[in-house]
Amino acid sequence: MDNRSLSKSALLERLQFDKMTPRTRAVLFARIEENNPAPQPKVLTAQEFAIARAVADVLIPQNDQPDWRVDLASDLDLRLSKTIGKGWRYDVLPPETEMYKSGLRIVDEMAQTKFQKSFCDLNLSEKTQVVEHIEKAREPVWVSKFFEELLAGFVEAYYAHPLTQASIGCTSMVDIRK
Amino acid sequence: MKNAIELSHDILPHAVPNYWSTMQTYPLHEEVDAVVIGTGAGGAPLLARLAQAGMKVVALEAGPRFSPFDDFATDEKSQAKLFWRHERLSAGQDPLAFGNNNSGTGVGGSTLHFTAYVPRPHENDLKVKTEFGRGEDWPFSYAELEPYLSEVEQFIGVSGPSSYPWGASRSKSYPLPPLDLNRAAQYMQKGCDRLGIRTSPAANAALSKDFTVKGVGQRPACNRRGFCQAGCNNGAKSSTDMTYLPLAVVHRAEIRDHSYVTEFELSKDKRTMTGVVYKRGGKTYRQKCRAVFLAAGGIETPRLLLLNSLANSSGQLGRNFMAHPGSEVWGEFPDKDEPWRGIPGALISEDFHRAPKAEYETGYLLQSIGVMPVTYVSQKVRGEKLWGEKLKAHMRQYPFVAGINMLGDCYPSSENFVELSDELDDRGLRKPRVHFTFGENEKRMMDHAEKKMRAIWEEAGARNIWTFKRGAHIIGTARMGHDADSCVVDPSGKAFDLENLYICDNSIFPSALSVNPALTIMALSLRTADHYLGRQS
Repeated sequence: MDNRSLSKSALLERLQFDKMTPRTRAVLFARIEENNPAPQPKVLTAQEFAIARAVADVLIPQNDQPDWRVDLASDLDLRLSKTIGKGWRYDVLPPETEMYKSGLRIVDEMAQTKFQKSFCDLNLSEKTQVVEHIEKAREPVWVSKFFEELLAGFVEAYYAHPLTQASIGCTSMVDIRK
Repeated sequence: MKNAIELSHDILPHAVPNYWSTMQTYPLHEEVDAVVIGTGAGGAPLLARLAQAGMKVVALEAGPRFSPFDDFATDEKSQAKLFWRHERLSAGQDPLAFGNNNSGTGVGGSTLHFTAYVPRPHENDLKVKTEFGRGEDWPFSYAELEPYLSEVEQFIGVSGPSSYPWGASRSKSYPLPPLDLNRAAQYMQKGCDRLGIRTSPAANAALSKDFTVKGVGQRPACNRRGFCQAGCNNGAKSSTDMTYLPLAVVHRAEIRDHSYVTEFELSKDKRTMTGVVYKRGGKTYRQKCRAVFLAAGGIETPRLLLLNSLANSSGQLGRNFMAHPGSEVWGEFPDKDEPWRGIPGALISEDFHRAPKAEYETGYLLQSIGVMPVTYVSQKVRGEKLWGEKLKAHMRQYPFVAGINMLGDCYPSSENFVELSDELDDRGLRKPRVHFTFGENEKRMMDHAEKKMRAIWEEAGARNIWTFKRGAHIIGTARMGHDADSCVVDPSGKAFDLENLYICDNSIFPSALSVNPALTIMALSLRTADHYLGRQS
């Protein structure tokens, strides 16, 4: 069955909130509501935030979701606003906030070099080329690890979302069954 | 195979009584017999043992205490609260992931999020130097450890097979029959059968039936929710908060949560610890004590001592760091197998422990693995940098995946160590930097295991097979042995440099062992308590 075009209401039904423990239900409900409407960034500048959002759309396209989306740039900004992160970092990388700010600037510089435009102003094919370029870049030495962190961070946020999980047929959160 | 998983139990509130309401408290100015730092597999068993012997004991736990049914969601993101997330720097050619991979925080330590694997070590795991001329031997034999392994299994409630094809004979059978094989286990069994590789249902620290923890209370059987690594919410997993910690509290031990140890008070000659300094809610507290048991795990233990310039006359503190080669192989199967259901590691093979004519030394085991969605996708993208439509197509197959993983012994190396960096963490303390590079033997073992696992998965009918290379567990940074020049603690676990400091966690392991470490850590913890009590009497 192709789940790609399911609406939010169809996915909510699939989640079976009445068959979850109270804690699971509360946590997942809050997540569905949390980025609605999207908050203003606290750590990233408006420009960095816009680039992050545009890169996220290339890494994890959400245009097949009719009436819902996971706000990955907001999730990134929220993570950076907390003093406790994921618990480790590659030693070659600068501290997390500095890494994201520098890394997103490198993405934009790459767009300028290749297309003489800001990353956000590129079409999808051009954006994809820039992202492919960043993925393969070897200068500065930490850029490949930056790409890994950026990608893993977005992907973890996207697939932690209950609507995403429901859309791929994952029902692990239905934790009371008779 | 059709009825692999049927959830038959309601989720019950955990049945271990709420022991917190009646917990003994000790005043700070009163000298207690012992302070135990950490409440995981290293700290909890000895806390209970000392309390049972009538000692006044206080445990300091950096994290909060949880009420699993009320506090644990079936959700990986919110359960990140169980992981030690004060930043560590990962260096070397094979930098290790921390956070959800390794140390924990909270009353129960990493046992709150361990997978529940509890295989026994092998006799020859403790004698690798004698056998291969490399690595280190343990300063005592398996025969001395066996009664403690057995005691732990009987007390915490281990589910395991009635007969086991590998290893030394057992003094007692497992107290509970094995847990049901989930789909990954059934696939592994099928693949191994076709290749002539022996398998067995695995030993797991989770209950296949309702079980009474002696002196504590009743716990319900596993409901196959499959989120062991994100915290069990019904008390079926035998984490220390369901076993040794309530036993300790029943015997008048005090457990202080949110208590992060920063310093020690010492006698004038600096040979004896007289107190422990810790932070709680922004305030500094000092607890007077006669002995200290440090059980903060393979990184925080050496870090705390290095920060205080203690117990390191050998220069070995933080050295000899080891991690288990832990490659995983994944594949997609035709049926929706729900990889998030059931005990993750239901099936095991130890046929590659000291395999004849092997191109590697020592050995490894194979385990089937279930997996939660975010853990799975995170590994996939870190390993293969998958993104865009390819990523989304891959994840639509997630409900059809199953995995198998290896866990192998690791030799110590001078390249691999924990040190203090100059960068400060959120508490203003120097962050640890962990250097790790797999050695030639570990690489040969991983190559061998990958070929075997891929072959097993092909025989089992998997498609789109892929490998994720990783290291697991943090071992060896405060080595135990007879020689004060090359070791940090003596064979009883006492620091050579101090009269009353004991270390009890995976940091004292002289060798990594070819099995998951939790059971051995708990056994060592009881043994260290007995040595201490013997010295006292």
